[in-house]
Amino acid sequence: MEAEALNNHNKGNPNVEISPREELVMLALYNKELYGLQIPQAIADVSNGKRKMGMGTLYPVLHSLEKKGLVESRWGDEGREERGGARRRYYKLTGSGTVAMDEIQSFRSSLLTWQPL
Amino acid sequence: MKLAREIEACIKRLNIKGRKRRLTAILSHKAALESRSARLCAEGKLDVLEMQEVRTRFEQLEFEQAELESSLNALEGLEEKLRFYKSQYPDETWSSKWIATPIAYLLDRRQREEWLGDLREVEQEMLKENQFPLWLINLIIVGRVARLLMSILEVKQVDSRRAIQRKTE
Repeated sequence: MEAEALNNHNKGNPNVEISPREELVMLALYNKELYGLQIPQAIADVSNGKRKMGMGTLYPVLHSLEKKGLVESRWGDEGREERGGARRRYYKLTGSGTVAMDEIQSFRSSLLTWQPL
Repeated sequence: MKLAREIEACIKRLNIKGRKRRLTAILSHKAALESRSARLCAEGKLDVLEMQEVRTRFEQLEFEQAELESSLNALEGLEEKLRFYKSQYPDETWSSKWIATPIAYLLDRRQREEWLGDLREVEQEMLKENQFPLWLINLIIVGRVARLLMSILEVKQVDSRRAIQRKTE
C-alpha cells in the first residue's frame, strides 16, 4: 500500500500529488502529532513569521491530505473550556505520508548534490 | 473571566431578589406596627410596658432594615461593576456568537466541532491578551469566518472533483 502510494507519487499520479502547501503541512506533522492551530503556529515560528498559513487554508489542505491517505486524525480526550467545550482534533502522518516525506527529502538532497557528467 | 463567573455565582447565591422581598416585608410590617400602635395609643389601650415592647420591636425592625439596605446597596454596586466588566471583557464576541456559530451549522458535526473550537480558542486568546479593541477582534473573527466559508466551498469542490474522477476511472 505504502509502496503503491509512493510509486503513484513518483509517477505524478494526481491522487497522491503533493502541493507545496500540503508539503508544508506534512513537514510540520513529520514525527509528531499536532492539532489544527499548532500547525500554522509551527510554520510561523520556524520561519520567524515569514511564512504564514491561515485556518481557512489549513483545513482544505488537511482534508485533502486525509483523503489521499497521507494524514490521519483523532479526537483529543476531552472538551476544553477555552474552546467552548469542543475537543481538539489531532493530526499525524500515516505510514504512506512518512514514506512520501522521506522520498521528497531524499529527492531534494539528491538534487542539491547532483552534478552534470 | 473565570473570576467574573465566580463573582456572578456568588451574587446569585446571596439572593438579591429574596433580600428585596424581605425588605418590602419589613417596611410593610413597620408601617402596620406604627399605625396600629398609634391607634391603640390614641385610644389609651396601651400601657407603658406594651409601649416599651412596641418600641423595642420597632427598633429591631429598623436595625434589620438598615442592615438589609446596606447589603443590597453593596450587592447592587458589585452587580453594576460586574456588568461593566463583562461589557468591557466579554466571554464571547458577538461575531462568534451570531455569525460564526450559525454559519458553522452548514458543516458536518466533526468539522463544526473542530473549526468552531479552533476559532473560539483564537478568540479567547485575543480576549485574554487584551491586545486589540473589541471591534477589531470582531472584525478579525468575521474575516476568518469569510475565509472559512471559502474553504468549505474549496473542500466541497475537491470532493466532487474526486468523485467525478473516480467515476470516470
